Amino acid sequence: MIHNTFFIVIIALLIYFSPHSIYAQQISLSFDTPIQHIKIKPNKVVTTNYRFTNSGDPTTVKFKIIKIKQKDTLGNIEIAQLSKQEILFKINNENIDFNQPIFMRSKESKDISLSIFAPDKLILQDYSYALLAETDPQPTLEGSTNIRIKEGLGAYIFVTVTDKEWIEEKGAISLFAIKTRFTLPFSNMRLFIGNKNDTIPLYLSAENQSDTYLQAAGTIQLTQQKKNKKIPIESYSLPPQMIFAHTQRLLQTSFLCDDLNGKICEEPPSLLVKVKSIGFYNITVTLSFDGNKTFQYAHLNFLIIPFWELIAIFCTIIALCIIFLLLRNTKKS
Amino acid sequence: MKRLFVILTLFLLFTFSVHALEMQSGEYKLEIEDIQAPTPIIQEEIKIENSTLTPDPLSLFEQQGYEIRTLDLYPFTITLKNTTIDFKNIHEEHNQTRDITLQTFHENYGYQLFIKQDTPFQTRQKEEIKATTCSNKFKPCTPQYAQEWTSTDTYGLGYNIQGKGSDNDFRNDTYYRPFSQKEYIPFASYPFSSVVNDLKINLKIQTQQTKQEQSYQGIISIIALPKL
Repeated sequence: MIHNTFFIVIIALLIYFSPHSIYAQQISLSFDTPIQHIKIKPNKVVTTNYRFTNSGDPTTVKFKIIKIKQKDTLGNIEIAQLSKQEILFKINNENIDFNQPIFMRSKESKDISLSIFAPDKLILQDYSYALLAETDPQPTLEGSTNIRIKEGLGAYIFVTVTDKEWIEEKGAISLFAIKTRFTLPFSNMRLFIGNKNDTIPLYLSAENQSDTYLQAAGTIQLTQQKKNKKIPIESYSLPPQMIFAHTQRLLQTSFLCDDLNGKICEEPPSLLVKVKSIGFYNITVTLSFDGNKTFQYAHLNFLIIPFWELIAIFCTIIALCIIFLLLRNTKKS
Repeated sequence: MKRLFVILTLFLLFTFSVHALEMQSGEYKLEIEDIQAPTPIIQEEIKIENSTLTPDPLSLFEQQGYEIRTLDLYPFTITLKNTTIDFKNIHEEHNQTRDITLQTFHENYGYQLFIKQDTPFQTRQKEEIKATTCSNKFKPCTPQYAQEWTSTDTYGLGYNIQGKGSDNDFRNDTYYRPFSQKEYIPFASYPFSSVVNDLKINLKIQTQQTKQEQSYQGIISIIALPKL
């Protein structure tokens, strides 16, 4: 009995004093204002702030500048080689410099004060960079097999170097089209015909006609025409979307990818219009560029008919006519 | 003697239980002096403007020679659940896969993700596990394009991504890409999401059965940028 008690006590003590479970490191980084556009005259310095927060576990972070460039017309970018740095950057915070590890405690924030200098002989154009905060991987045990992950988070720095006092910010709608089952020429216009419950892809592109970055934002309205009245059916928001100078961009609504499941979003239209009943519909787009009060409009009409039902009725009529003719011929003979 | 053996077994059982669980930051008690950098000295007065509220950017640019517009007022966050992925020794298990979860959140805007192999996956003696070429030797996978990797006689290191916004070539969880050691390769992109998106990154190692007992280590770099 005594032996058993002694045995249980020893086990209890061993469990109590055994080391606690070891947890994996979680990294969570964020930038508060991840997109800034800076217009600067040559030979001028501007200082701006980027608030950086480590919400995860304590870690060391290094700051870097990376160069980016436009990849496609869907708003994707690629990381370019930083061979020659045209714009010069400097971190003003004490104890913080580029490529130097900085210890960040959990839930600690730092306001990174960044000076941006445009040298005198720089070509007057747009320059795209990102301020990158990158973690240092944790040290690992000798003799273990593992892969360590470095996590990086970027905040954009779009710089326009210009000596002009004013840059015209001008954009235009370059494409506004839908893709229905059938398209028929009708007088001077085209008639788009679809079936009930169709999802109609809509494509909307905007063009930046100015010498600097531009953001396009707006709405798409779907209305139904009923006896000279326009009945609003749905309104879709177009969140602000960046367009590089003298390029085009396919604009997208915020609803699209949450409505669809996953990978269709890779090559998406601007919007999938869902129409539940037959009728005559109108789609209007309203766009503004860089928050200007002037808007651009475009609209188109389409017709939704009970397509398969009409085909069935048409086939039935043809079949009845053939049967009728055959019967008549049989009677005659 | 038997009891001693049982006690020793129990001791080993409880003391060596190492778990890779989701991190709980509250459990850390760091006793480190405050090393936060002092408040930065602002050299010039900055006027940050919302793009939708630009009262007179012309005069600002004229007077100061610069103008700053904050185009996005929403924080952009990336969370990695685990920063070290442990594998069993290669000589014990020749085919291993491990998952890591990556979360991104950016209200209003979306995100783009890039990946690169920073250091080769190798031993101290520089014996490297090379990048996989996937199953079909006539259509090998590349850092830009995933292919099916199910054959047991194709060796190397590769990764698969599953989740909203992962690139189309990752058709299912058997499609892998090798890492690029030269440049950052985009592997996921997602526009406008108001919810936290989870992406599962699956790392796969497959080696020949003759590999000797050695430890391999490597570093992979993942970068997240807002989608414009």
